Amino acid sequence: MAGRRVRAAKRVVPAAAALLLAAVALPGGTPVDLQPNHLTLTARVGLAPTSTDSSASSCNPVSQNVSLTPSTSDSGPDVQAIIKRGRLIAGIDTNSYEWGFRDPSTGQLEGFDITLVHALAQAILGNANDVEFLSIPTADRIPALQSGEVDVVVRTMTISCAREQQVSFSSPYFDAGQEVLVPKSSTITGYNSTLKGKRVCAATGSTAADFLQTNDFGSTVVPVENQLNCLVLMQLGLIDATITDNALGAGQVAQDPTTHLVGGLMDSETYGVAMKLGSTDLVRRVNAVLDDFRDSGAWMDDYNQWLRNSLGPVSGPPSVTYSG
Amino acid sequence: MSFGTGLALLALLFGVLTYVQVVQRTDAASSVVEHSQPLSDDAAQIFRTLADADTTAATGFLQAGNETAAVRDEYNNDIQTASTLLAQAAASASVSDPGQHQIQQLTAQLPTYTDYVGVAGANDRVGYPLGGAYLQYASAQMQGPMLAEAKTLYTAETNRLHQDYSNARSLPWAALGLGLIALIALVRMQIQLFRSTNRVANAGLVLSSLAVVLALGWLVTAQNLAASALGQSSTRGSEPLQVLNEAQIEALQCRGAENLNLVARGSTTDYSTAWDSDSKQLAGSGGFLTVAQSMTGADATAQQAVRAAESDFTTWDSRHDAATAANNSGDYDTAVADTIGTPGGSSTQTTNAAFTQLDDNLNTAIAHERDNFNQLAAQGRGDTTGLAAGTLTLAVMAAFAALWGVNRRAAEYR
Repeated sequence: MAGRRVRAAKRVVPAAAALLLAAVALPGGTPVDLQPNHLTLTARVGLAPTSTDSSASSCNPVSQNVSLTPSTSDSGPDVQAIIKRGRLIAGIDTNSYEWGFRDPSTGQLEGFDITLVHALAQAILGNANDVEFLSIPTADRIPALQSGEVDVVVRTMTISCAREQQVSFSSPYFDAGQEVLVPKSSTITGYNSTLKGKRVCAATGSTAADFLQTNDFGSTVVPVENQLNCLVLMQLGLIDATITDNALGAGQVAQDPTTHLVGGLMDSETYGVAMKLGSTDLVRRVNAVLDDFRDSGAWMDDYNQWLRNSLGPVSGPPSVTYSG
Repeated sequence: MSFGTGLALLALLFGVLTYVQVVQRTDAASSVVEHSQPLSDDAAQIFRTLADADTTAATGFLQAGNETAAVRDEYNNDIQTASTLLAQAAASASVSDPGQHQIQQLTAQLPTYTDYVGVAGANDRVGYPLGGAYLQYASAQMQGPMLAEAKTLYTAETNRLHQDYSNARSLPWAALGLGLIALIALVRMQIQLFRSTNRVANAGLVLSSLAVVLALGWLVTAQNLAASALGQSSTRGSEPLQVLNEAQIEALQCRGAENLNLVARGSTTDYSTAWDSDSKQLAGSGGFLTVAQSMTGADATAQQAVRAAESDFTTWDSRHDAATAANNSGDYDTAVADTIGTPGGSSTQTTNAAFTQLDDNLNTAIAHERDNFNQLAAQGRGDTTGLAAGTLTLAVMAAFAALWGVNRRAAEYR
C-alpha cells in the first residue's frame, strides 16, 4: 500500500511540471521580440531595390506620389462622418521618438506626426484637440483603416504602389530614405565595403533587410522585430551598425547622441497620410490641410521642433503633384 | 559449524541488515524534512521572487516619475531575496547536484538583468521610447532563459524530494525476508528437537523465536506507521504546497503580462495572448486553483483560502477586462489607472489590488500546508525512533538465546 501511494504522488509531479513549463513560455521568450512600429518597415517590400511591383503595372515610384486635387469642401460622406462624430480617430505609433511618442512626465503624445494630426483636427473640426489617438498594433494598421476603426493613419507610413491597392494616400508630407546608423567611434562610413565583418541590424522584412539580402558587403545580418530594438543591441555592444529609415534613425540618434547617420540616403521614399481606400472626399480634404500646413510655414516649424536636430536643416517640404 | 552457530549467525545477520535498512530509511526521512523539502521550497521561492521582480519592475516603469517607495522596495527586496536564496542554494548544493549549473547561470544573469531594468527606467525618465524597448528586452531575458533555469532548478529539487520520499517509505523487504527465514529455521529446529527428544520446548530457542517475532513485528508496524505519516505529509503537505507554489507563480506571470502589455503601448498582441493562456492555466478548468482546491480537501483553512483566491481571480478578471476595453478604445491613461492606480490616489479597485489579495490568500494556504507538512513529517520520523537500535538488540538477544538453547540441548547428550 505504501508503494501505491508513492506512485500516486509521482503522477502529480509531471503534470504540475508540464503546467509550470507552459507557464514559463511567456511572450518574448526570444530576446529580441519587442516592439511595435515594424509595419512601417515590413510593408516596404514594394520599394526594395530588387523587387518589382507586379500588383499595379501602371504604378511607379513617381506616379505613386500623385494624389487627388485638394478641396476644402466638408460635404463628402467621410468628412461628414467625422464632423458628426465630433472627433477625428487617428491611428498612430507611440514608440517612435520625435514622430509619435508619449512623454512619460506629462502623459501627452508628442512628435512630428502628432502635430500633423492636431492640424487635421483643427481644420476639419475647428479644435486641434478633438482627436482620439489609437495606438494600433503594426499588423492591424491597414485592417484598422479597412474596418473603419480609424479615420486616418499618420505614422511614418511610406507610400507604395502595393499599399495603394489597399488604402488611399494623401500627397507626400515627408521625404525619407534608408540610411546607416553607427556609433560615432565606428569606422563604418556607409552602405559600402566598410561593413565587411561587422554585425548589421535590420528589422525583419524591411527595405533595409532587402538591401542587405542583395548585398551585405560581407557583414553578418542581425534581424529584429523593430528598429528600436537595434538601438538596445547597439548600446549593449551586440551589433555594429543599423540600417533603417533616416527618419526613424534620426529618432535613435536623438535618444543616443553617441550615434550618427552616415553615408547619405540609400534610396528615396515618401510618407503620406493613409485613409480608407476610395475615401476621395477625405483624401481631398486632407490634401487641402497638408497644402496649408506646408505653405503656412507650419510644416517647417514642426520639422525644426522635432527633426532638425537629428536630421539637419532642409530647404522645405516635399514638392507635390495632383491629378484627378 | 553446529546448528546453533548457524542459527545465531542468521539472527545476527537479520539484526545487522535490519539496522542498515532502517537507518537508510530514517536518513531519507531526515533528508525530506531537513534538505529536499526546504530546497524544493527555496527553488520555488527563487522562481517566485524572480517573476515578481519582473512584474514589479514593469509596475515601477508604468509609474515612471511617480514610482512609489512601496514598489521600489518590493523590487529591491525581490532582487535581494533571490540573490540570498541563490547564494544559499549554491552553498548547500554539492558539485554533482543537478541544479548547480542553473544556480551558477542565474547568479551570473541577475545583475545583468537589474542593469537593463535600470537603463530602461533612466531612458524612460528623460522621455525616450527606448526605455520601453529596454524593459521589454530585460523582461525577455527574465521570461526566457532565466525563468527556464529557475524552473529546471525547481524540477530537479522536487524530483529529489520525491526520491527521498520514496526511499523513506519503502518497506525493508530484505530485512523482513531474512527475519522470516531466521524464524522458519528456528521453528524447524524446534520441531526437529521435539521429534527426536519429545521435549515440548527448548527455552533458548523459544526465547530466540520470540525475539525475532518481536523484532519483525516492531519493524513492520513502525515502518508502516512512518510510511503512512510520510505519505500524509506528502498528500496533505508537500503536494498541495507545490501546486500552490505553482499557482502563485502563474498568477505572477498573468500580472506581468498585464503590465508589459501596457509598457508595449498597444504595439504587440503577444502579451494579451500570454494573459489569455496564463490565466487559463491559473483559473481555468483543471487549472492550478482548481487542482489546489481539490488537493486541500483535508484542510478546511487552506481550502477556504483557495476558494477566496478563486473569487479574487474573478474580480481580477473583470477588472482586467475593463482595463483592456479602455486600452482598446484609446484611453491609455484609464487602462494604466485601472491596472496600477493613479499616483497618490486610491488603488483598491485596480487589477493589482485583486492580484495582491489573491497572492495573500495563496500565502495563507501555503502557510497551512507547510505546517501540515512539518507536523506529519515529524510524526513520520518519530514513528521509527529507536527502531534500528531496538531491532538490532533483539536480534543479538535472539542469536545468544539460540546458541544457548542448542548448546544446552547438545550438552544433555554428552
